Amino acid sequence: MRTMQRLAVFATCAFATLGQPACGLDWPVSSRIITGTFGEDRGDHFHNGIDIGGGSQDVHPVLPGELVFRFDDASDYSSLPRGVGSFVVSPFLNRSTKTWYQMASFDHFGTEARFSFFASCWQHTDNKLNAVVRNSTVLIDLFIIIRLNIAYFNPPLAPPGRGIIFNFLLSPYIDLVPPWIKCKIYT
Amino acid sequence: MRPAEGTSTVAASVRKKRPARVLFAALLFIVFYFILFPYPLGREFVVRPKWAIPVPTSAGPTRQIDKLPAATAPNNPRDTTVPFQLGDLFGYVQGDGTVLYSGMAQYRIALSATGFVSYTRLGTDWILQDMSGRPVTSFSGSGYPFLGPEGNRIFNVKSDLSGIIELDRNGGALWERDFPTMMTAASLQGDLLLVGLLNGSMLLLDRKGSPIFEYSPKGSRIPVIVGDAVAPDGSLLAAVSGIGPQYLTVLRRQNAMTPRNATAPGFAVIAILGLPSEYRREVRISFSPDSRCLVLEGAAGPGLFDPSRGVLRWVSLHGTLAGTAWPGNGRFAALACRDSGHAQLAIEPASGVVVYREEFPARELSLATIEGQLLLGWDGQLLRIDVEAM
Repeated sequence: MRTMQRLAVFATCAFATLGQPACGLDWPVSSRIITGTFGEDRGDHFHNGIDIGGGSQDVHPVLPGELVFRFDDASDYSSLPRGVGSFVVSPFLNRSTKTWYQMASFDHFGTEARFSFFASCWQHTDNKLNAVVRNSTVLIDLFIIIRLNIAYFNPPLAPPGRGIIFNFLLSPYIDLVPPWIKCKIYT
Repeated sequence: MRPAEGTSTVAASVRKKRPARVLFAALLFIVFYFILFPYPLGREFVVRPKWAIPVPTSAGPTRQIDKLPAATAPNNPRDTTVPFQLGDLFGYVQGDGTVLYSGMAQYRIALSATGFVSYTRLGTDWILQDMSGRPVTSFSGSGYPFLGPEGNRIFNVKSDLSGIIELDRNGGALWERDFPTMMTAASLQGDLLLVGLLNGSMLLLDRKGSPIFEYSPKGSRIPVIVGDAVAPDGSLLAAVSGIGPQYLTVLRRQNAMTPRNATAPGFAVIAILGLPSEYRREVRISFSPDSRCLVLEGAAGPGLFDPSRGVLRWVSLHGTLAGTAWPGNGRFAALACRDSGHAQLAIEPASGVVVYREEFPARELSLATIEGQLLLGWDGQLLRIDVEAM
């Protein structure tokens, strides 16, 4: 059983390495604070991505994509309840992965600023996501890798803060934020 | 033989008077005809403001300023009470202007006709309160609460929009369904829940959460559902989908005799219409209460689609669609758009004859239907506007 798990980990890592640029992806923000690690316990699920905070700064796309769907937290209409703040969704072109940029903590900004942010996403960057975000939290959700992780990894095999995605897809970064590890007994 | 001079004069006089008598008789005939056989002319519709009240920011019942006659007072509060929401302010108002409850949302509000849940961004424990603000039940979840329009169904939408769980009144999970991509839109009517997904497919779920119909509109460069709606009687589905170009797709239940709770209803496409818009956000789209008309947000104003004729007509209004109501006991569509502090309100039937059109400054705007008439929420006030035939 353990051999199978290791084999699955190896296969996943190999797949991830083949599917992404050899040099890894650039960070979407220059000033980075990891506020949520991959695989951490969220009560009823394990975190499917990495939360990156870092204050007021530009957010750049890690891969070329096109903005497909956005949600403005100031919008007075949504058929679904949403609490993650403003966000945009940009599936990568010609790739099977997807990125979900989660833009949150806009509360001290007016509606106009939020709309101009979304306009800048679309109009000024040649259909590529490149937006100015203030005090934001960015969630990178590398879809296919996450699915593989969920499918093949037992949560203890995905080290919080320095998981597989962390090591393979992003350039090295020293995470100074100590992870908070919640124990869970698996039966 | 030459006629006498006097005779000639009399005959000429008779000839002159006869047309006048005939004319008079004809006039009498016409008058009596209309009296005896009256023909009802078309009725003129009048937009009449009924009452206006400021929305109290604290909880508790209040009365309107101008009372109505007792005969119009509601018998059963549930019949005439509707929810309203103006920014963070929400509550319940009755047809006579009595505000049953009003309060401020903590972060967001899940509102239904019979109860609400005011929830925080990070909270996991929720309290369902009734129209008067009394706690009904409490439950937990890591997502966000979503109530059916009648308040009889409680859902927990996962925070990453990847799945939905229906809960019972005790907070237990009745069913749970995860989706391959995030949800972008949802519409709930009775037992039917229509979910639109980021991958461009829409899924119709029954009361038990089982998918009974799935459809993916084609023809767009990027498939995505940006708005969907299920008709109140369950006979029609509609979706605004795709980017480059965007389409309106309407489907009708194939067998009208199929009961709503049939295990596998079939739907056939009755209209696929290209839209000039290219929305990359959720758009408002909904059916009228009688399921005979569909309203959708458009680039140059809202559109009214008649499913029976397959005709889409655009109403020229500026700005983003802020709300829809169905006054005149459902005979008219009230549509309001808002754009940079200004709002436009239009009331007209599906045929397109303008009954009322107004432009006014508005920071907040919401529309609802109350006792078959228009409830307008406008900058901290609630106004009831009746459309009556004179």
